[in-house]
Amino acid sequence: MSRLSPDVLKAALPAAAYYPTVLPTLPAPKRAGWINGGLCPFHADQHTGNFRIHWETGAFTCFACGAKGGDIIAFHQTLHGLEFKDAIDDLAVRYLARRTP
Amino acid sequence: MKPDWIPKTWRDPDTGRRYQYSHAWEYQAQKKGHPSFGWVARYQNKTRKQIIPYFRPNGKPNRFDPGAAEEPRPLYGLHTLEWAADGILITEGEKDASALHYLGLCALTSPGGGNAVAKADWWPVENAINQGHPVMIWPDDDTPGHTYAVAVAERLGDACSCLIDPPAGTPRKTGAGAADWLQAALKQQGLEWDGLGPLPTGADTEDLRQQLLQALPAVTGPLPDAWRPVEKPQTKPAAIPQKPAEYVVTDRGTFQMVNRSGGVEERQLANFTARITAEVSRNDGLESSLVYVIDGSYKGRALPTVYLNAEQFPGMAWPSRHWGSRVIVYPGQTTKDHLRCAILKLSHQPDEVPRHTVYTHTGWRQLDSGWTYLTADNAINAGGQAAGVDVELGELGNLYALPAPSQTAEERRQAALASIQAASIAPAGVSVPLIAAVYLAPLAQALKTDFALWLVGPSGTYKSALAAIAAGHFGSQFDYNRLPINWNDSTTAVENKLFTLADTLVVIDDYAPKGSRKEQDRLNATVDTVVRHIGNLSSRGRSRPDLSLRPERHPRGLALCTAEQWPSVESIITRLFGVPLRPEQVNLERLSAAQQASRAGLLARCMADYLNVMADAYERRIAHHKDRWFDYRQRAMAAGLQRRLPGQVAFLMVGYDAALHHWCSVDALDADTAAELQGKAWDELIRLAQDHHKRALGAQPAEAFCSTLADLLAAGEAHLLSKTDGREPLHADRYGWRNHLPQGAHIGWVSEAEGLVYLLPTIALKNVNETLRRLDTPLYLAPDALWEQLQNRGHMLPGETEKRASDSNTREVNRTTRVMRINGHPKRVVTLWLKSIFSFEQEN
Repeated sequence: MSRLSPDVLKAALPAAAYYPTVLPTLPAPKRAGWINGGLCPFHADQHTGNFRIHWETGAFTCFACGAKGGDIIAFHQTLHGLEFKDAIDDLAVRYLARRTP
Repeated sequence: MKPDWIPKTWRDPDTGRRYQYSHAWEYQAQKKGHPSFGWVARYQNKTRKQIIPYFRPNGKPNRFDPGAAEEPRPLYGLHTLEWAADGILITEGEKDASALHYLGLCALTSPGGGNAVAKADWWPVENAINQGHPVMIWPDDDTPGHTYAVAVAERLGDACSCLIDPPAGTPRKTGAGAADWLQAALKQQGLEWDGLGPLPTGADTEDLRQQLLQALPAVTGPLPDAWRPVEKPQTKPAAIPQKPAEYVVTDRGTFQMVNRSGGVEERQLANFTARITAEVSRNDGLESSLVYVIDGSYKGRALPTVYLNAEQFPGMAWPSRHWGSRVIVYPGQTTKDHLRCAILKLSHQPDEVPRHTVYTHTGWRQLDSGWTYLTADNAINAGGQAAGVDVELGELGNLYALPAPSQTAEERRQAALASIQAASIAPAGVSVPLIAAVYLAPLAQALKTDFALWLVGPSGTYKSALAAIAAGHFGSQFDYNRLPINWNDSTTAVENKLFTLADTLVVIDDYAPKGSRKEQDRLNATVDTVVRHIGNLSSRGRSRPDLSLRPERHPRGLALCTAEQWPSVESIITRLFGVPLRPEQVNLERLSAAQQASRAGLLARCMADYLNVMADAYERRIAHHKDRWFDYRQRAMAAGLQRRLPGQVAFLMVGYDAALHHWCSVDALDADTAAELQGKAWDELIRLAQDHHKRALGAQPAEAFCSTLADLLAAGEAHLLSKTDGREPLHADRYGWRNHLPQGAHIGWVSEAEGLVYLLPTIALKNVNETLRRLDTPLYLAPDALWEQLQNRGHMLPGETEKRASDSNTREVNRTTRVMRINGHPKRVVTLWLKSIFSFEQEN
C-alpha cells in the first residue's frame, strides 16, 4: 500500500517515463507538447495519427474512439480498469518502488 | 451565415464594454458529413474587436457554448484540405483563411493566435507535408504576424516556407493579410467587399486565384531570422528517466520518495521548491568565490532570486532568511540534509547547472581571447569589445564604464582631440601631471606605480572639477560632485575601492581636515594608512577564519587625491607627487567644453581607443614603457632629484609619452608639436619635483626642529646663555635676549667661537614640541629618534661613548648626549652646529 499524492506521483513518474513502457508503437518524440502516440490502446486501432498524447502533462486523446484523459493516472485507470486510488498504488508499485538487485 | 444561437452582442466581463456581432466561422471536420468542432465569432465596436470561441458542446446537436476547444485544438479550414494540391496556406486568423477559401484555395489557421500555436493539433498539416503538399505561411504584415509565423514554422519544421513580403497588390498598411490583398484586388475589379462575408457578385474568383498563385513564388522563401523575436531555446522533449526519482518537486513543495515494505510513501521536506540555476565564480583578480543563484517557488509562485555564497548553502538557514517565515523546512533529524541533497540533485537534472565567471575588478586580465581591459559591463581587447566577459563593479560600475572603441579613424581623431583639449584647461604645471596620470593609470599594475598625485589648492579652485575631467577618461558619468572616493570614507572602504579599481585613475576627493580634533585625527590616520599602502604597494595583512593569511589586497590603481592642504608627515609627503593649484589658474571656458566632452563620452572613448591599441602586443608595449621608465629615472637623478622623486617623474613622463604617442597615432597631433610638448612637460615635472622636495624637507622632523628652534630664539620665547661665562652672549638678540634681558625659558648655551649650541635636551625638545603642537604639526618622533636624525643629517655632534658594567662584562654604549663643564658645572647636553640652526641668517 503506497501513500502518494497524485501530484507527487506525477512529478516522480513523468509521462516521458511512463508512456514508452505502455505504448509499444509510440514513435520517438521529436518535440514537446502534443505528439503522435502511435496506435490507440483503447480500440482496435490500425492507423497511427488518431491517438495523441501530451509529452509533458500526460494527457491523451483518441480522435477515433474518443478516449481521453488529463494525465497518466487517467490513462492507467482506463487501461487497467482501476479506481483512481488503486491506479496510484499500482503505478507506485510498478514504477517507483526501488527493487534490490 | 450566423447561427441563431450565437448572440448578437458580446459583453466583455472585464471591462463591461459591449461589442456587436460581425461574423462567425465554422470549424468544419475534414470529412463531409461529420459534425463540426465549433465556431468562432467576431464581435466589434468602433475601435476594438473580440474573437470569441464557441467550442463547448451544450448537449444540443451542432450548438456550442463559449469556451476554447479542448487540447489539442482543431485547425480552422480542415474541410479545404481536399484542395491541397495547389499548396496549403497557413494564415493568421480565420478572416484571412476564409478569404482564401473563396478563391478555392486550401487555407488553414490555428485558434487562439500566436501564443496558442502549440496547443493546436497540426497532425493534418504534417500528414499533408508527408504526402508532398507544399505549405506556405502567410502571416499578417506586422510583428504579431511574424511571431505567429515563427511559432508555426518552429512547429512544422523546415518543410514549410513563408511569405517574406506581402504579395503584389497588398495595400501598404500595418497588419495587412490575405483578406486585405483580396479586398484590394476586388477593388481593382471595381467591386467593394467588406473582407468578411461572401464575395460580391461578379467577382472573377478564377482570375484572382491565378493572379495570387502567380504572385506567391516571388515573395516566398525560408523564414527570415529577423522575425525571430528573441533567441528561444529549442523545445526538447523531456528525457526519459532511467530510474525512479528519489526526490520530486510539485507546487506544494519538495518531497522525498521513501520506500516502505509494500509500497512507496512521500515525505514532505519543505513547502517550497528551490533550484540552483547558475553557479557564478566571482573573481577579484586574487581570489575566486563561488556564488549560487537560487530560484524558488512557493505555492506555484516564484520567490525572489537568492544569491548565496557556496559556504552559506549547506547550513540551510538561508530559505527563511531570504524568503521569510512562510517557507517551512519540516521537522525531522535528516530533513535538512535531504532537502539540501534534493536541491543539489534536482538542480543538475536534466542538465548540469551552468557555471560562469564574473570579474569584480577593472584593469587588465589575460583571458583566452588575449589581454583584455575590464570595465563595468564591458571589456576591451585587441579586437574591440570582448564578447562574453562579465564584469560587475557594484556602485563603482556607474562611474567606471568605458564604451566600445571608435569605429572609424575620424571618430578616433575626434575623441583624441577632446582629450587634448581637456589637457589645456590649466597651466602646464597642473595639466601635464594630470593628463600623464590619466594615460599612466592603465599601466599601474604592470609598472608598479607607487605614488599618488596630490592636487592641492584652496577651496574654489576647481580641484574636484579638474579631477573629474581626468577621471572622465574612464567613464562618462564623472562630475565634480560624483567621484568614487571621499577622504571621509572609512579606511577599509577606501582601500577596497583602490583594490577593485585596478589600472585606472582613482580620484580620492576632498582632504580638508576640519571639525573636532578627533575627526581630524581620524582623517589624518586614513590618509597616513592609504598613502603609505599606495607608496609601499602593500596592505594590511588579514587572516582567514582558519588563520591562514589572505592574499594582500594592495592598491592597484593610480590615485589622484584632491586636498586643501599638504599632509604634515614627511614620510607621507614623499609618497605623493605634489601638484599645487592656485586660484584662477583654471580656464573656465575650456573647463566647460571639457565637461561637455566628458559627458558625451568622448574622453572615455579616447581611453577605449588607447586600450584597444595597447591590448595588441600588450607585453611588448609594457616592456617598452619599463625601459623608458629606467631612462627617465636616470635623467631625473642626473637633474639632481633625490629619493622617490626621480621614479615619480619617470612614471609621469612615461604616461605623458603614452598620451602623446596615442594622439599622434590617430592624427590628432603632429610629431613636431608632440616633441615640443614633451620637452615642456619634462621641464614642468622637474620643477614640480624640486618644489616638492623642498616641501618634504620642510616636513622632515630634524629640519623642522632646527627651524622651530631658530624661530623660538628669534621671537624671544626661549634664550641661550654664553658658554664662556653663563651670561649674555655676543649677538644676544639672536639668542632670545631683549635689552640685555633673557626672554622665555633657558634652553642651553651658545659658543660662537666654537660654532656650537649646547642644548638641555629635555627642555629644548619640550619647548619645540609645544610650539609645533600649537601649529597642529607635531614631530611624530621619539626623542632618541630625533637626535639620531639630527646626527645623521649632520646637524648634531655625536654623544660620548660610555662604558657600562653589567653582571658578566663591560660594554660600550653610544649616547646622543655628552657631559660638558659649563661655567664650572657639569651639564648633560646635546650639541648642535650653530650653522644648522641659523642657516638662513648666515646665508643672508
